Amino acid sequence: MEDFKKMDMEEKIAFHTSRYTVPGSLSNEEAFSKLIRRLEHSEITSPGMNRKRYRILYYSAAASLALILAIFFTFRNFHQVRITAGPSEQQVLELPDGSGVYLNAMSEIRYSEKDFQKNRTLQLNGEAYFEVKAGDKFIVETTYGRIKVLGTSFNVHSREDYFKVSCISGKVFVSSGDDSDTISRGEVVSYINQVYRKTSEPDIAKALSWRNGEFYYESTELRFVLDEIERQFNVSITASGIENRLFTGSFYLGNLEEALQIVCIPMDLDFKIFEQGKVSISP
Amino acid sequence: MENRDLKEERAVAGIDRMQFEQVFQSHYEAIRNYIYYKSGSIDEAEDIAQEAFLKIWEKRETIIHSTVKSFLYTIAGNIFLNHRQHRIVELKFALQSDNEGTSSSPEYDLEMKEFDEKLQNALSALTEKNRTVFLMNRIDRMTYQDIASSLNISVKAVEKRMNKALTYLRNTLEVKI
Repeated sequence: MEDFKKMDMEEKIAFHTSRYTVPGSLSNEEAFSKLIRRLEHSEITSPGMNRKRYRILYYSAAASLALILAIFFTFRNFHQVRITAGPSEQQVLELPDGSGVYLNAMSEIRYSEKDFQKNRTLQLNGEAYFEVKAGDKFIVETTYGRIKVLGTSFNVHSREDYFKVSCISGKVFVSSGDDSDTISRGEVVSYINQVYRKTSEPDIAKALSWRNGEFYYESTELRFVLDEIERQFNVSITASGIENRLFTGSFYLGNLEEALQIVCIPMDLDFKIFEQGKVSISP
Repeated sequence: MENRDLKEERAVAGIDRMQFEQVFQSHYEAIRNYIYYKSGSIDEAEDIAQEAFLKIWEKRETIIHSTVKSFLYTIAGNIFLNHRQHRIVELKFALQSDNEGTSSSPEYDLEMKEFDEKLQNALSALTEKNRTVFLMNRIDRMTYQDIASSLNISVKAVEKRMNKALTYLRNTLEVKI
């Protein structure tokens, strides 16, 4: 014990932390009996808890959209190249100039094969991560904004009400509507529900975690999270009572039920999975 | 009728009361601590741990026993993120009483106490991720493998966070001594 002075820093830290305990106010047993009391209480007050009542609403539009997009196809028409990643699918591809593109589920890019070397411009619908070879300007056009770079890497998420560009390296020029900005590593421009913002993201790698099947959110409207689940699991979700609710946290690919639990449980929502990829969510 | 497929799938899923108690006994403290490392509030940590187990119980028919651990961590983490009350973390650890060290001098005690204070401050100042992993290893004595599978991250990522935490602690504490 007396040789504390002789310990090096790492040993000191190890020695101290090994003696730490978390100052819990309840013992394991107390916590368990408290939990049991709560369980019994909730079962008495809501006897029908497991007999769930759901209103099933079908969005025929969403279903037919899923059907149309269920096929992955590449076709050339007037030298137009169109590459689509269907639901629960991701695509990795190389552009004629050597730049790399990772396409997330239900996303599409289009470009002219003939002109691309001279005019590096492509159209994106959905979400993609670009690793651009240095060279002349490289432009990504989307319905909700335009991105111009020289050689850099960045992630674009461009869907209805949700446009977001995250710069991973280099410099990225983004314009959306009347707003424009140049962002560099760790910076994010978003245009969500008509609100334009420039922010910085300390952990920019999260913007790319979708490529590993992990999806992170910070105070994001729940509907955008559910949209992503729809795309990743090829299901159609009908939700009620989620208006304006924000979600912070993550879900990962694996099984649909788990992903739904991970998102719904902390938000006090119930869900039910039906045949043919239909899911309903309600409070 | 319409969800017959689902029922068949559920035959393999689901945990009973005994399994639930087992799950509670083996993970409650670790889950509570996990949230404590993130929030620095023991009340909040206990509440969220309760909440997470309550949710598991409510969903017991659909829970798959083999994945319940990482599931609990994720649920508790997400509850914490969505109901976060505390922004600033100030951790306070209790010291396990050691009865062997009775012969220590006042001078020695003081030095220990000072170091302890600095260490606790430095721990609080770590980034949430690095701190959580570091303390899960040091206090809950979880192996890297165990931490990785609980948090759904790779062992490499655990190593990285441990290294970052240690480097920060070493640098912060060495400057002042």
